[in-house]
Amino acid sequence: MSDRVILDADLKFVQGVIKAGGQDLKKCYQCSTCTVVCPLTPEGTPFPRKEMINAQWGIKDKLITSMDPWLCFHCNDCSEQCPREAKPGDVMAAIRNMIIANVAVPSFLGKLTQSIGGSLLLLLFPIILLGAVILGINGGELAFLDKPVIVFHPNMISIPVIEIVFIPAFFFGIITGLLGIKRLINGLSKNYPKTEDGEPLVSALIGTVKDVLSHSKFRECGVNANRNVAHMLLFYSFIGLLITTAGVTSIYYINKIAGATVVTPTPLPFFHPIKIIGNVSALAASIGILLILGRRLFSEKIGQTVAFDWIFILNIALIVATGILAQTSRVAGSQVAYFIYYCHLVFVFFLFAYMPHSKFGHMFYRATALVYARYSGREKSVGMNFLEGKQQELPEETKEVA
Amino acid sequence: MAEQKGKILVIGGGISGLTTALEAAEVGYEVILVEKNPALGGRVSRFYQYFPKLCPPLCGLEINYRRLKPNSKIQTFTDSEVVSITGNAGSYKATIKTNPAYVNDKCVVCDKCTDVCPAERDNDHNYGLDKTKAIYLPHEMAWPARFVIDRAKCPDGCTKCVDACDYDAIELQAQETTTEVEVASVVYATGWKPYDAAKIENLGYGNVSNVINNVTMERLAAGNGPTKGVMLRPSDQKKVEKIAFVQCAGSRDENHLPYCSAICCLASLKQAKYVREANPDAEIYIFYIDLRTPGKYEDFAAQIQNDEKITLVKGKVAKITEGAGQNPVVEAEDILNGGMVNLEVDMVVLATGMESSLRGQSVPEAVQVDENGFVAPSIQKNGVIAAGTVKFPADVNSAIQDSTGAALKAIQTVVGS
Repeated sequence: MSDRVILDADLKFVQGVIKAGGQDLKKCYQCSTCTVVCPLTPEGTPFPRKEMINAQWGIKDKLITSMDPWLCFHCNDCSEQCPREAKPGDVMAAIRNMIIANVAVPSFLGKLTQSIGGSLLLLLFPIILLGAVILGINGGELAFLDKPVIVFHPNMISIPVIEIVFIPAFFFGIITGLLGIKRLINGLSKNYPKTEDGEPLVSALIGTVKDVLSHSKFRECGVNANRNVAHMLLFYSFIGLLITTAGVTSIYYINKIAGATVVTPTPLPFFHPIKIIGNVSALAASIGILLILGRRLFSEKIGQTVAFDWIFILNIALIVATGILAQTSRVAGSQVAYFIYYCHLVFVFFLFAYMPHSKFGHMFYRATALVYARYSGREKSVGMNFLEGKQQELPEETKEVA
Repeated sequence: MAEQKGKILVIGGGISGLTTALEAAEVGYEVILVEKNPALGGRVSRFYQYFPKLCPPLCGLEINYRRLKPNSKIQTFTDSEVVSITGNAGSYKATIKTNPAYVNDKCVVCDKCTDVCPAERDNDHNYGLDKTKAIYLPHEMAWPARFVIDRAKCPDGCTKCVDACDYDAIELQAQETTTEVEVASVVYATGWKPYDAAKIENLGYGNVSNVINNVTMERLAAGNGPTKGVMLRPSDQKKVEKIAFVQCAGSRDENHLPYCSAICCLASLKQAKYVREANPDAEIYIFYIDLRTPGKYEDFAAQIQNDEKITLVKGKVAKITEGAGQNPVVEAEDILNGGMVNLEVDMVVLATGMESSLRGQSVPEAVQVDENGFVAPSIQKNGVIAAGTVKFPADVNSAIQDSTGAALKAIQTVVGS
């Protein structure tokens, strides 16, 4: 209290949070009901009460370098019990959106993905690129469109498309994602020095992987407790689809390098284990995304859904829908399959290339923050023991603002 | 002044209604005073101390009985409710329904009936902390000073009290009566009720032992209360050494009462003060969002804050659970120190807010209430006047001032008609 602290208020940031889903932010009167009912907050310098006042005042630096928004899983126990209907759960989500917009590399992509208009602009890129590549390979004439479509014509699904377009897109997503993670860690390390409670990095990594695989944090939610089911379906189906893609690609290259058909040629028959994994995953993904769509459309408890959320949800929904339709129409022999498959490729490109800039970025940033929480000891930080008058040394963060 | 003056109907016999009735009657106006309960005095009669001088009701309320008793201008209906009011300022028709007290004015409060009465009832004057016989005196200062009978609790065919009474005061066959009156002015002074804390689910009222509300606390402290003023907690009558006060229990809350009840901060500070005065070892913790002590009461707050054994914690209690040995445990964030607090105490006092007595009730045609049940002057179409806490949450002092003003307004209506 003795040191004078000059707070650097960024009013544009306040407007940003309000726009990004925290429109009731200013109703908060700092009673801290939210913090008490939060099932996930650590005991020391708990959230989300302090995030509410930081966001009201526009203390941007503290918020975008805070790990606490990532320890929040939007259970909405806080919003449910908030006496002012200030919806702290939605504000935390909005802060996460702002963090993504701020740490994403390059920055302009992080901004464009926040709005529908910007995202449509970004969608134009794969539409044109993929169109041009397919036309280019075929010398400007899509003669294969006349051929029967039980099996896609190699000029449509040909490996150059994957090699020229998707490998760079995928690595662009991964590399910019890693750069974003680096930015995030720079911020976190300033706010959260490693404490005695911190775990070694390897143990923090293993612990986080276990938490993520079991969705253990997500399951602690009170209100919206069942949200983890839909997320889990999507999470595991994406792993399944990743295995499928990797499997099919490997088969292709094995055959190509060997110069002969040494393993089952693609497209794989329906009973092939990899094909089964792919189709089961597609089914699980459809159920997951339908659950999410339904809840986002009809449940009040889920909280605010903003453009940034919708873009990601629709992206997933469209990938799943066009993926399933492409396979069905191909097997049915309809030529529409080509167009649907083209759309499927466009949406997959969008998901991969803009991974760290869209809401999909939570995969990078939340995972990083969760590891960092264990590594720094934030996870175990305890509150003051009021009865014995002891008070633990608090991180710089709340000493100033609280 | 015309020969035949119109009458003033005052509804509610608490401190506000009594004040309005007396102020109008003492300058010569006819008043009809209607009280729902068997005795006058309302909420104030159940306080241990009240602001501004922290006097017991024996001092501040009884002077009003002293003024009332010789005043022939006031006609009092107890056990009565006004069931309908029609008309406009200057000319109203009202219907008063009177429930039988089963005991008439011959009663001398000799206690012979209570000695023989075999049945018991929860003592609502003490918020159910103890019991009375089915024939009982509403409270020590009851006026009219006579017993009443809770007939629902009487065993079938029992006439023991009738047999014991030497004064022929008991009428078990008494019936409900209805009175039609014509009045020139209507003053609503039906007061307030504590917000039902059971509705605030996370605070455990009714589920967790030894979580009480602030009005019950007044009875625990009162010398004429169930514990004779010794601070004993309800579950096991253990002496209370450590108390947590939970401010804004239902107030300033969109899910409960959206407004600030204005008095609860001072009520808790007052209660902390008298607990500390009675017990130098007592430890008090007050959890608040903002401490609201308007005007001259800031000094009072400062005085309480200086007490080493009273700790004020900024942060609302949002969870109360039962700990070991029937001790409640409160959970809050200590905002100024930035950490969660789990505090086990002997007893928790919820500073429940003031709810209009009319909230959620049906009201006579001529009266308009706002969304919170308050009789706001700005929305009255028929000229009905409101006095005291049925108008806004307020302390006794403000309610009395407001009621004096209401008496003048009522007189103006009478004179103007």
